[in-house]
Amino acid sequence: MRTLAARNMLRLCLLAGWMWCCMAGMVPVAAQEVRFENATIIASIDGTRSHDVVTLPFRWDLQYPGRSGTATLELEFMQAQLGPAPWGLYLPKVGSAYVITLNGEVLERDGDMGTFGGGDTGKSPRLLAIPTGLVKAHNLLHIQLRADSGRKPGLSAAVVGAWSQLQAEYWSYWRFRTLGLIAVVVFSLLIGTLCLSLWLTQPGYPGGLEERRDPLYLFSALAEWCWALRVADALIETPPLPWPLWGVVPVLALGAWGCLTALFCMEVVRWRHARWAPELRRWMACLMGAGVVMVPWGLVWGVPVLVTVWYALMGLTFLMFSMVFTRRSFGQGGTVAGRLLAGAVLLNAATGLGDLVRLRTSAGSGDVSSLYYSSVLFGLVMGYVVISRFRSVSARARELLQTLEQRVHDKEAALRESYVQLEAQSREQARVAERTRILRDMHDGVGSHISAAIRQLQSGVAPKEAVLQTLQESMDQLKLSIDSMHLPAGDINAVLANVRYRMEPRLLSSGIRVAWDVDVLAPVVRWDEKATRQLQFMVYECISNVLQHAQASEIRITAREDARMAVVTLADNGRGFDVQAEGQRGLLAMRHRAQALGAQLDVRSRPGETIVEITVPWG
Amino acid sequence: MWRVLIVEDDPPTREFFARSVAGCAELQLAAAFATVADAKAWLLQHAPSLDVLLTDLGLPDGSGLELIRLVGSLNPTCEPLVISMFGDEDNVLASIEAGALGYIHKDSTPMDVAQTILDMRAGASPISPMIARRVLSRFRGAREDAVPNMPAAPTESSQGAPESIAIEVALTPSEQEVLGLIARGFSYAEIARLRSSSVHTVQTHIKKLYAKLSVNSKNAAVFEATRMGLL
Repeated sequence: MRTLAARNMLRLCLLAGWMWCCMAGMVPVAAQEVRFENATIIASIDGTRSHDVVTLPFRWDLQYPGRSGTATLELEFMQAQLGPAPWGLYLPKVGSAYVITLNGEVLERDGDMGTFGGGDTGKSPRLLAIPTGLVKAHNLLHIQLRADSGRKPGLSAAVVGAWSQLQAEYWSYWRFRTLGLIAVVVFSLLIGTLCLSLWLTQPGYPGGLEERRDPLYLFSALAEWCWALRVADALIETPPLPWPLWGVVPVLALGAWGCLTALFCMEVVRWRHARWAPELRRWMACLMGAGVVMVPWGLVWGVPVLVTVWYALMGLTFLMFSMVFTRRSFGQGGTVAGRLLAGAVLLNAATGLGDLVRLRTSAGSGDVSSLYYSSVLFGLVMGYVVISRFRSVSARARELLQTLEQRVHDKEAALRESYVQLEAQSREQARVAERTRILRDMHDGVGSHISAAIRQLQSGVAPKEAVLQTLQESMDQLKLSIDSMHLPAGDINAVLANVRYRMEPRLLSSGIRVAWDVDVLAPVVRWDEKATRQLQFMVYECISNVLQHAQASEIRITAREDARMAVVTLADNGRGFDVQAEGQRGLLAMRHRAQALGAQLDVRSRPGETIVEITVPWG
Repeated sequence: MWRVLIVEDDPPTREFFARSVAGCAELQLAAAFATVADAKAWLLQHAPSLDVLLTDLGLPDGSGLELIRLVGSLNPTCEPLVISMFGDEDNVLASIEAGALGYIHKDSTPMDVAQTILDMRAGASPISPMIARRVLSRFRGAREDAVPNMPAAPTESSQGAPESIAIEVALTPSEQEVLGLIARGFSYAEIARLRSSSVHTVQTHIKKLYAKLSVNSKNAAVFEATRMGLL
């Protein structure tokens, strides 16, 4: 990640360098042209006229500090000085507004000559074609100016010469100044917007370490936007506010840019929590507050010293800050980001210094600060720092998310495991319950029957039929017991059908006919397998009694239901028995079972008819 | 004369069944074995002349189901019967799916044994209400399964397979009715009366049903194998 970032950084630097070269490229000056060095000037300030000779570049603010006015510059040249037509007039900077006449004919006018503080034509170079017919042997060129005080009005240079030469010179300068500055503005806006969108969409620290948004992004975004505004001012000919009010904007933008950049640097090297950080922040806030008062005052009411003082305070502050910052960043414990930033700061400081020297001493072709261009490097570093910070934070967030995912995954696995265990437990429980049931069946049913049969055989007096009867009963119960494993819970029809299927051969062999009159019954919802089995036993007990004791020829099995209950009736035509008599063990067991089922058992008997009625209410 | 093969490992029981068969004028005991291996060896030679296979399920060296399948492939006209201790659902259903056409309880009387074999040859198979209930629910389940499976037919060539399961093995309305009545405990005679048909008709329904159940399980296996890419 680091090498990738470094490679991207390198690419950006190369690109910036290339742009620099393109913009700075100059076409060599050719001969056969007139480069004016002096001009006579008639200045008019508040109705007072004065006559002078000035050298070019002519800077109004130096000549008439703190005053606004108009001026006419008079320039002379001979046709003989020029090469062959066509010719042109090239003015790198002329303003704040102008009217240009040649030999009395207006060549071009731009801006409102009468209104101070309006548009400013001095923001971009001018190239005028000179009609061939106008040029005489001796020519008089008049350049009328409107000069807004403090706006750097004046005439930078003036060249009359071959059109193609001047055009080349014009385009070269235009590319450097206008296009170059547009590029810087766009670049700054891009970086600023990028930083702002990062600030808006940053993931933050989900670990709860720092829930608030990282201000680093916001500082860089605002700084870049302030810078864009500052640079854009060098391009805007018609500002939204009148001069000198508008003049306040770029000055304050520059101050804000400085403060925001300092704040940004403090974030990068984590000075935010330093002891002196709040004081520095307060000091910068004071400076900005003072700027809001001092700068307009200085510019609007013509006390430029206020602006100078403010600039000086700002400059001193940032000079000291960048010294400390640079020492700290290149010292022990400095980070890559800090060093890059310090490098950019140093470079910009050097450029600024160079500018100062150049602008004060040379009559150079423009008034463009190289700082505007070197600031691109600063923007690049800012962008790099912001993006790498964002990436590391995102990576951290991603890591945290992955850890979280892993934790959720582990928890799920644990849950699954415990679920499997639970399932195994419940299976085991079911198994135990089934085993208990089978054991009880063996004990009460087959076991007791076989032991009874053994006793019968041991006694030696029991008839063969009795032993057979016992064993047969044992077999019947065993089969019913096996069938009951599959009995659908609460299904009375299934119980009756099954008992009939198992018992009918025995009944038939005893000469008892089965009359079957069974309706389809709804299942008893509240019964489980155990309850269903109780009913099976009751029906079996009943049929077994008929087999052994009733001496009947028919057993009628009926099942009916209505809205309230289901009724199962087993009626035989045997000899009957005394229902009230003591010692009816089978009957007693049936009553117990009925009670357990929530059913009602009704037994009526007389010779020739015994009716057993099992009533099962639905609810 | 129907020729009967008996396979049962318990000697007294084998004797009992052998006597029961020998005692019936219309049946002839072809052979009696105690193991799957002996029975297989005999079947490979004599299966074409066999009419009835009477086999226990739990044999010392294997399952009677193997013999049922073997005889089904060697001689489809031979009718297998299973000797079952309890006539319990699980064993009986497994036997029917392997191709058995009925079962005989171990505690049957000799007359019952002979009668069950003769009834089966005449076209009747025994069924308990519990098994009827299970068969009903199984067919209901199979039909519900078959419908959603149809669009997902695995290959072009076997596109008809799931459909044919559904059609071939679906119960006819009268079969469903008969099964439902049996599940509710009605005897063949009572069902015949209720439906105004003969007992024989009712009994043949059951035998056809058993054949369907066997086809059903085979088709299901083929379908399953196709789906798994084995065929």
